[in-house]
Parts: sequence; structure tokens; C-alpha cells
Amino acid sequence: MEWQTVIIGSGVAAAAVASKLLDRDPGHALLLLEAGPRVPSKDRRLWWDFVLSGRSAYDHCHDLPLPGDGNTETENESTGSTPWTFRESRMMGVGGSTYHWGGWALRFKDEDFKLFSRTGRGADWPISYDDLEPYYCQAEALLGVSGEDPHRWNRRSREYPLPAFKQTAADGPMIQAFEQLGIAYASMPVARFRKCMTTGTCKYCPLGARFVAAYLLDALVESRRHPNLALQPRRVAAELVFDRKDRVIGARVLNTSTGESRSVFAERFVICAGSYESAKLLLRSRNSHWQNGAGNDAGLVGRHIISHPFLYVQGRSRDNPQRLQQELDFPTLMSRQFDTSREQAGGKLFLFRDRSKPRIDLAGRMIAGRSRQEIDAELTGPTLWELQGFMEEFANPNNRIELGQGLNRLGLPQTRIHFARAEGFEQTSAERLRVMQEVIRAMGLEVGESGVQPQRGDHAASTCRMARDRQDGVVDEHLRVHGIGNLHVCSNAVFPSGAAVNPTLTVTALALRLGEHLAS
Amino acid sequence: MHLGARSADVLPERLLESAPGELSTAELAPLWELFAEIGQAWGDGSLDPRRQRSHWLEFIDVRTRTEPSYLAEYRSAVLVLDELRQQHGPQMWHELFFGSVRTEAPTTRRGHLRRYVVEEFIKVWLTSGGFKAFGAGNYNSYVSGSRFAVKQPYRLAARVTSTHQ
Repeated sequence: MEWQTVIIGSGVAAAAVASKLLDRDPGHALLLLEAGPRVPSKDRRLWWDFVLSGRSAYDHCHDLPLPGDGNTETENESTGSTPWTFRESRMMGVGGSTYHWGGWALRFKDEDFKLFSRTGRGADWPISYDDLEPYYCQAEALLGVSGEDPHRWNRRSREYPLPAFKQTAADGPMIQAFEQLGIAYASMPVARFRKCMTTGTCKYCPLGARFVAAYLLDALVESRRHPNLALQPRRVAAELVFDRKDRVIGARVLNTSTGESRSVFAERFVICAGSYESAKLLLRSRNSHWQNGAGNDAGLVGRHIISHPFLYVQGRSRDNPQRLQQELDFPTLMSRQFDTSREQAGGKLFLFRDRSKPRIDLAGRMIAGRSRQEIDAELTGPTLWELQGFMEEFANPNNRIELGQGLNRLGLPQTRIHFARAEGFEQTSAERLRVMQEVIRAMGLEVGESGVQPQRGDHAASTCRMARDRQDGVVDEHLRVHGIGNLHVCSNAVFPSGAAVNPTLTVTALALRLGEHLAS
Repeated sequence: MHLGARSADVLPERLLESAPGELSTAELAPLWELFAEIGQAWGDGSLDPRRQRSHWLEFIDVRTRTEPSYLAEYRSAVLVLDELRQQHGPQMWHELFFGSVRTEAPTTRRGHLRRYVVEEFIKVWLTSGGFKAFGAGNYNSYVSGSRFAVKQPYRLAARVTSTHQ
């Protein structure tokens, strides 16, 4: 065999699995294939370009934006009754979506692993919180998470590796409202290394102070300890090749720089390509052994797709005498008060203050010729505030990802998503919005615009979900595809449920666990 | 030459093309003056522009030495600034920031000065500390210092306790 392990993808899951394999065996023959390009990091020119134009260095690695204001994507299709937005929901390049992620790093809770048993909805995980807890600790250390848990929302064997960011002055009015309503709150746990200078350009950090998987991969590749490690960008895994039903021997790989196609062979394959591409690669791998796609005899690959409905409530204050502005590029105030077993049956709610309000675009005002006095008046005048929340979503087998027609501009096959919100969603989301409106009123504000944003794919999950029984899921508790001994999937795709919080810390913990399992 | 003749030169709307290079000290001087005048127009007098100079110089260096280079754009700006000075005297800054030049499309040398120099310098002025004149403690793209410093690099909530309920 050419390689001991081939990992498809180069995001946080790929980096975590790779680091574990190489920790145990520095000489491990390991190849990582990334469909997208490499993006230069910590580049001063690219950073200045971002500061001045707002255009990131990796815009070309996103799905193409929507034409006009419709919901028709040019590279993807959304066919269900609820439109699915792909725009900027993932990053296709070395480092994956950690290139653009916000760094919010929250653990799932005990009850999230027992969703079906507790509510009769969704699915249980074949592992428990306690199984994952040691890996959550490792994941927090790897990502450099700053946090606090004064309410013990999670059972922890180790404290956060870095202290929480203190709440900003602009958090003040909402903190007072939370306290008035008896809502417990804490600082948002975020992946920001010690060298963070609160530069506020987290989407392209000039210091490398927010975890990006590319940094870790580059360090691994550049290390002399790893002579048999290779990372190849612009390589699309077109399909997996089998010599018998239970064994993958290779992958047919398209080099999108040259147009050449060749096969790579390995003893083991790990697909770490996110919820979309992991499922799509399995679906594309049709052959005499797997006529519906690899691991898809039960027809579950691509089904059960979920994300997080995004709720928001705005309120406007009459004035802002302290000139409060959002001074960081990430939130420092959140609440898991409604992310508990009590709310689970209706869909948990995770609350956080908007990271971009209140904010006056000072540069825009100056460029428009506004005088200092005019800007001062605006800064101390009526001000817009916003409370936001993620709501838990329940999987439905009819919600699914499928193969689209043709290729996107990076050479990846296109994506089709069929999605509809669950029956009763309007009522439960309205109940959750009422809770949020109470907070806005307690701030002394009049409730303004509120609702549910169009469904986005940022936290897409469950397309290859984990289950002990092959009739219930695509991979087993060790993330091995049912029926295929040497093929694993590690991404949000394997989540049986999505809880109410961001998935990255959990997928990192799963990847570290998988890496350890494979290395042993 | 008729006053302002060079300023009215018709140019393509896009950034002027040039190979990467370095501005001379004489070329840097009027550009620095422009930057400092932004602080005069919008600042509150508390920020000495010399404290922003290293930040500004790094910006100029990166913008001229890497592609696409702003070298030709900055040299063009020096010409226009000189003509504006002859035309308007000390009023030139008001004309540039609040007057008719502000709305000029980037299809003339003067319009290029506005779009590719003044507007970008305004953003650099804000991100290098100018925002403090408006009362904030931190600002996107301002390198504010370690969060572990004794004084936090942003304004804190008035009431923060270790446990809340």
C-alpha cells in the first residue's frame, strides 16, 4: 500500500485525527487530501485588504453568493419547502471551516446524548457525555479555549485552559436584564490563544490567535519528525474503490490544478469532509458491492440533515449616553438557562448577545462627510440592540442531502438539499422568541424586529449519523462505517443530534477520540 | 499649467497599475500631512498623530511593496494634493473631507485621491487609535494589547461577578 492512512479533508477533525496518529507513530505514512486551495495565513497585506474592504482572503473558498435576493444558489440546489442557505456556511480550503469560524467552543450536555430516550424525538448517541468528557478537555486545550462555567452547566474533570474574556461594557444592559429575570449567564467560551490582542478581525487574524486547523497541519507537515506525512490541496476524492464489500483499497482523486485523475491506495481511509462532502463521497462511491453508495444499504447516507434555527429579537433604546459600542469581534455574554433537559422536548435554546451590535460605522460616516458633532449625536442617540439564539432541531429522515448536477468552481460535485422545518416549529420557536422578547423588555427597550433567520448550513450535521445498529445509522460508535472495516467518517455528519450549541468542540473531541482509537 | 489641470486628468476607475516599489521621503511627507489632517478634522485633540505614525508607515509599506501596488496611486495623490493646496490654501482639507471632492467619482486623478487614498487613510486613522476620540476603548482592527494586561484593552461591564443567578 502507498499509505497507511488517507484522510479526506483538512479541517479540525482531520487535523485532530492526524495529530493523534502522528503522536503515537511519527513515521506513520499519512496523506491528507483537500479539495480546496491553500489560503495564506497571517499575511499583512491580506489582513490590511480585509480591514479596508471587508473582503476576506478566502471568499473564493465559499459557496458562491446568492444571485440577487432570491434563494436560488448558483452552485447548489435547495429543493425543500424551507430554503437552505449555503452562503458562507463553510470554507473549502486547507484548514476547512476553522478558517472562518467564530471560535465559539461549547460542550454538549449530558442529556444531549440521550435525546430519543428522553423525548421520543431524534436519536440517542451510542456514546455518553462521560465517554467524551476526557476528549472535551483535550479539545479545549488544543483549540485554546477561554471560558468559565460558574453554573456547572457541564460536568468537567478539568477547568478551561484559559480564563474567560470579561464581559464588555455593552453587555451591561443585558446582564442587568438577565439578573432581573433570574436568567443565569456566563462569558462565551471562545477559542482564542493567549496571544489574542482583541484585534477584532477574527475572520482573518493577523496574529494567528484564533485556532485554524491549517496552523496545526502546517506545523505537523513542517516537522522533521514526520517524514511520511503529506498534505495535498486541490485534490478532490471523486469516489472510493473497493476490492470487496467490507474493504476500501483506494480513492480515485482528481487534481483540479492539472485535471489529472489518479488513484491513491491505503490501508485505511478517514473521511473528515464535513456534513455535506462526507455524505456525498459515500453516495458517489457506487459499485457492484454498494449499489446505493458506500455504507448505504439502509438508505441512511445523507438523511436526517439538521442545523440550528437562528432566532433574533431586536430592541431600540432612546439614547446611548455612554456611547456603548460592541468593542470585540465575538460575543462575551451567553446563557444556557434554556439549554437544559427541561426544554429538551420542545427544542433547547442557547442565548447570546449579538457580536455586532450596537455599532456605528464610524468610517462610513466620516467618508460620507459627517462632521464630528453629527457623529457624536448619532453615537449618543437611539441605538439598536439584539439578542440572538440557536434552537435545537430534530432530525427527520426526509430532510436530506443529495448529489447535485455538475461540479462547482473548485471541482467538487454540487450539492442538493431537501429540507423542511418540523411540524410545530412555528409554535415552539414563537415560545422561544417570547422568552427573548422578555429580556429585551427588561432592558427597558421596546421590542422591534424579531423572528427566525433563513435556515443556514453553518452547523449542518447528522448526514452519516452514528448508531450501534446499521439499521439506525451509517457509522458505529467508533465512527467506522457499518459493514466496511477500514473506512471511518469524522465530522458533524456523525452527530445523531445537534443540541443547541455550536458543533466544533464536539467534533474535535470525537476526532481526538477516533485518532486515539485508530492509533491504538 | 492651468491650476488643477492634473487633478482633472481622466483615469480608469480601477487602481492605477504599477510595479511594487518604495516612496521617497519627499513623497511620504504630503501623504503624512493628509493623514494627520484627518485627525484634525475628526479627532478630539487627545491623540498625538506621531503615536500613529509607525502603524501608518507599516500600512504604506505593505501597500506599496506588495501587489497590487499602490505606488502609482500615492504618487498621483501627491500631485493632486499639491494642486489642491495651490487652489484652496488651508481650506484644501475641508474641501477634501467635506466639500465637492468628496463625491467625485474615481474617474479623475482627484477622484482617485478620494477613493484610493483619503477613504483608506480614514480607516487607517480610526484603526490606529483615532476611534478613541468617539469614546470607545477598542475597535475592529485595532491592536489593543494583551487581554492579560492589568488594564483590559476594552471597556468592561459595570457589574461583573464570578457567579450570576
